Amino acid sequence: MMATLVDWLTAALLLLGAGFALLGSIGLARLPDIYTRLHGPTPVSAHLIARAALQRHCKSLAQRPKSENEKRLRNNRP
Amino acid sequence: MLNLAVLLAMALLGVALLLCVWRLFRGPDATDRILALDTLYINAAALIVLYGIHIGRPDFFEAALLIALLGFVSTMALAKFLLRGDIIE
Repeated sequence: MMATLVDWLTAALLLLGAGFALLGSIGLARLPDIYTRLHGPTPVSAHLIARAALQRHCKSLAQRPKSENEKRLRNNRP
Repeated sequence: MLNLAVLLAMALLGVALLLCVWRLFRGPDATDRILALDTLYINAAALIVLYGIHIGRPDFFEAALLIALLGFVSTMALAKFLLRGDIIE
């Protein structure tokens, strides 16, 4: 009885984890720009990749006022 | 039933790997490709663990551990290279 319960729980958690991995990859493939793609899949190094994208002047979906945007880019330049 | 769940999860992760490869070849910028590689190694580690469960050998877990460690370090190195133009300053 206990063993079957553990088996069911294991199977459900395996499918849940694989489903979340698939959702993250669908987000990676389908979302429109790099900043929205970042929040889909990766739990690891999103911060550093986002800084690199900002430094490479990748366009964001969010419409910021132009002067503030340029100031932010200038502050992030090494 | 557990075997069936493992097979189904492996199929889902295979689709996820294909989507990551598509983004890796498509991606308009270098950051997109780095992000695709990051997701790719995480999904590959999960797939290797599932394969180890499927054929019942625990050796594959250490391979997944190695892939996770090296993938994290390589993603860090690539993003640092994009930021600074150098890895070890």
